[in-house]
Amino acid sequence: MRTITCPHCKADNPADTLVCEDCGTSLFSHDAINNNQLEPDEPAANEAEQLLDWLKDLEPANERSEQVSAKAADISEGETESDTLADWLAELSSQKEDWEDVEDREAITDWFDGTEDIYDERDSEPFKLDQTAPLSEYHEVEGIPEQLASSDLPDWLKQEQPLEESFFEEYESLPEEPELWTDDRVQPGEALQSVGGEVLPPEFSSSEPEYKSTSDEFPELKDKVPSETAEEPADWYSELAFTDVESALDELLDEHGKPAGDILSDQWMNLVDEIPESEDEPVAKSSFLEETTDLSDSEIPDWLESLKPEELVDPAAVDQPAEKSGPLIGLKGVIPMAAVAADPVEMGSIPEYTMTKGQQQQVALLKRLTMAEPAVLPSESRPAIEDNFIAFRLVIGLLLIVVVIAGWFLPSINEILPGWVMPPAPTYTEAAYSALDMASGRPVLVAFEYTPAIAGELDPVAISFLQRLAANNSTVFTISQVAAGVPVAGRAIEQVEELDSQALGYLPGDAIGLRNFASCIDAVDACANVTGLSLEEETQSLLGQIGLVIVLSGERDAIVNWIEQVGAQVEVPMISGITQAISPVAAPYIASGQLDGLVGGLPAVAAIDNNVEEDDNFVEKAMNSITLSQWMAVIVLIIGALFYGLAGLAPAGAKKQA
Amino acid sequence: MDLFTSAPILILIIVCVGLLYWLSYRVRSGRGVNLRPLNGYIALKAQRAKSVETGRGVHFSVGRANLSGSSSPTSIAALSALDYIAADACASDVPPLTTTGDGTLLLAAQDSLRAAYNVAGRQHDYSPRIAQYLAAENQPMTFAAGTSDIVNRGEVGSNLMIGRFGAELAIVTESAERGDMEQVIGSDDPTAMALAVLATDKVLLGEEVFASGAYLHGEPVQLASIQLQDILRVLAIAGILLATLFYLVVG
Amino acid sequence: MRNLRRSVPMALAVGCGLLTLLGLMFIPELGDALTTWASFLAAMALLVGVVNLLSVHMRRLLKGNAYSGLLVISILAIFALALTDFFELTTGGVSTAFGLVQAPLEAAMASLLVFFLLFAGFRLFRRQRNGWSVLFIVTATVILLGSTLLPEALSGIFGQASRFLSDVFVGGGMRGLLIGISIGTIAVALRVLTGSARPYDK
Repeated sequence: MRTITCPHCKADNPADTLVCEDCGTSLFSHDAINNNQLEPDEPAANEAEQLLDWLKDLEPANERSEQVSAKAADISEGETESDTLADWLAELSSQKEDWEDVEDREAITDWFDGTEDIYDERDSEPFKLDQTAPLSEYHEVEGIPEQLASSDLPDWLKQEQPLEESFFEEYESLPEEPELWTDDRVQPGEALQSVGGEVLPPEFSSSEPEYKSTSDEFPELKDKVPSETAEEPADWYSELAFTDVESALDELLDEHGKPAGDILSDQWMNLVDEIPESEDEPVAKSSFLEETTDLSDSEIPDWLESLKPEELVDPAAVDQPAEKSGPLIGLKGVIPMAAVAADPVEMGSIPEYTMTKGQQQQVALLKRLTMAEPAVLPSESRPAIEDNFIAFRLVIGLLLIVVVIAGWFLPSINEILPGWVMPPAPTYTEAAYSALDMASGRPVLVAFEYTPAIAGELDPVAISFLQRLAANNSTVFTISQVAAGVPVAGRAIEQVEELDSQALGYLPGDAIGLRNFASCIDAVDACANVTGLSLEEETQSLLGQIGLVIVLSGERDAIVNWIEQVGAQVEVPMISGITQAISPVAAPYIASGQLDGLVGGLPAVAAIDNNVEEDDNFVEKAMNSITLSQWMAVIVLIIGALFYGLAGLAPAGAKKQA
Repeated sequence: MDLFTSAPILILIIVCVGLLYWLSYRVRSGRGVNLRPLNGYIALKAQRAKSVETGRGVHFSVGRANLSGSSSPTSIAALSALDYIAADACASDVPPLTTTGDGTLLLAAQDSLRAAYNVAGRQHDYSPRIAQYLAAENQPMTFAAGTSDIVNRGEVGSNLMIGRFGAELAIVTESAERGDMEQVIGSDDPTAMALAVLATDKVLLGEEVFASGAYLHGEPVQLASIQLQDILRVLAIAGILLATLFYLVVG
Repeated sequence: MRNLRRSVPMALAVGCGLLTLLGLMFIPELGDALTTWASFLAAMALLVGVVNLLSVHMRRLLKGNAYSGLLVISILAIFALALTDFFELTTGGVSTAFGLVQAPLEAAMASLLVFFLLFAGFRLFRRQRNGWSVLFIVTATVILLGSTLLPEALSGIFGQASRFLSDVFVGGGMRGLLIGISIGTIAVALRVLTGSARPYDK
């Protein structure tokens, strides 16, 4: 018999073995082929006959290729490849006396079934895979169609010839199979003790899987477990060991010819049958566990016993009617509802939900944001700021400055334009100066209710009044509810010569402070203290003899407060010096008699008190500037109206023409 | 004030209070109050929405009338408008930059802003510096200078001024005009009203300022107050006409 | 507790208002006392305002605003001058500063009004071109010419026209506005007196 030596472990293996039986190395690697000199065994005379007849028609690859090329030539002559292939198949079919239809499955299975005869002839021992048996032995079956069992074996199968080089050449062209053992230092058969320099634990170092029997692994069960050969694997295990597919296929064939599935199921069923019956015996009482455990019967406590269903205790006694309603309808033995749960529950009143003000506001906000319609703004044409915007501002500003300065230095317009006159002063202006004269020799209270901002317009009025009072030898008391009015009063007083004056200072509290102060004016009982301001006795006496109250202000509130809080409480004449801007506001009080006189700005002073003798007359120069500025303002307004008015009409005209 | 003078005033006050409650009851019962549209309040609402959307706050000036003076109702109406603006603006973290010309107004404005932040749940975002005191009540030019500076800085998107102002309004409106800002101006001072009309057409003149609560918040008592004003106005007109006729006929 | 917190301020406000009203009418001493307390509170509020002003500008100063720094320095300087005047270390320091700084600055601010008003009138037609703008221009022209130098004949005409406009249209319109404002003031005051309007309780 031909053998092949393993290149690693040097063990002899049958020639037809694919892998070494000892170390598992592939026996068809290049080294294996080169190192082996297959000593051809004396071919057995019956070896050719032992081959499957169907192998006889198999041709070597080179001869086949020649035939293929011949067939290809036939194809080129018009025959198709399928026709060519069908020819050699037809050759097979010509010898088909016993050829049965391929589709006849029964015929196919017959020759398979015939294989059972082979096994019948074998020993009664369980089938063992004999790995050393030649391959041909497995194919010695009857029932193979004659055409497949033709005695005309191909030459390469007729003789026991060593495998031709061409055969091995095919395998030479195949990629070299990786050797199982990569570490040359470890000889096959020896334990693999380390990998990559790392020593393996003992359980990984054995070359062969360590087989442990159940009794070895569980020594305490040694006597209980059915005996088995500890060293030898179980028959079923060995039976399942196979090296090639054909062997595996044969393994599945039962000696009785049963299908593979049946074989396995029979084996399992045999195992199941070995399991002892446990229906009547509790598991705990198995012989195995009986000797290892000591379980005594447990005592069931009474409370657990009480939970036992009545049906189990006394089934005959349980005959409860079935539920007729509810979710458990039809069931018997329903436990009635507990009284506590059965009682109707009275629901209390649901507390009223209240919203806080903040929540209401947030809800309103959300509504506005999500539902409110956008407010439609009245359309307003807002032309973009033009480039000439700045130019116009600059021109007008410069013009105004020039005019004011020019008016200050130019001679009086009355001299330049002699026929030009100022409008006459209103009657209430003259009444104011008359009131001043009537208070001659008596103390006069002057309230400076303005700031330096409008001092330019009211200082001339104040100085005019003070000059008249000085001429009348009246004592002047100054007071102010404006913090800045106190120094303004001081500056005005300084400009008037020979004036007897006394400053009362700052009076806080607006209308409330005036109301309190009013009690000090024209009062029988003098007040020693005015909102924190201590008054001397002489001052208190003089305040009680006030003959006139003069209010100088540019704010409507100050005029109104003095009129309503002081004028309404004391019977003292009151006149006012105001700016031209609030003249219409104060005019009704003139008509009602609450004010005895009114001087509205510098023009009224100029009309009444024309002290033009001095060259540096402030009033005259100021009136010059004011006059020129007013002329300029009129011209600017008219020009602006014409410019923007006509500019707006121009596009409309162009549209009409279009 | 003697009893002869005080009694009619007291009677008038009692009658007006009774009218106010009765009108409030009618409004709560469902009787609607028709308010004629006012450009100023329409623009005010739009400015509030615009500030929230653009993220640029508004400048809101409540004027310079003392809360303890005779012009305190004007300031109260201005604070009502501030409440309206602050409600959404503070919730959106674009609070109105509030300027005042009086110390008592400063405290009231700070309270309004703090309340708005509390309602929005953003108490930690409130800063007392959001409301600024610029000048005393009787320093209008200083107030105008401070307000113009705020408007010119470009930190705000629109200029809202409701309260007591004077001639200094012209300086502030000019600054806002140069910044091309939307303006809403409301005042009860005749000089300020005249200047406001020159600057913008979204003005609230005189008694329209006192209707801020009714137009912006719409509470029943505020609507009833509008109706009370109308009743008193009709009575005043009737009295003037009757007196005119009397003096014309009798002399 | 929350209702109490809202009720107490309202009760105080309504109570003080009613007491002041009754005091002004029947019990002058009570009215005077309450009004004096109100004046004192207003003065304290002024102090609060100054502190707020300092606080705002100190913060801006820390951010690098030079003008805010100038303002802070000015406040402190005037305050120092007032102290020195009080302790008679200096004489007229505050009034000198007022005359040299405050007065010219305020006068300059007021003079700007002329420019702004004139320019606003100049571009009135740019914003709205309607009959009311025409009426505005005509009225302004008549008023201006009615108070300036004119030939005698024109001076009389424009003077009378100006007076007519002032007394009739301006005066009448002003009175109507003021009456309406007064009525509005009454309504708001009544709401505060009755507790309907609570500017103190937000």
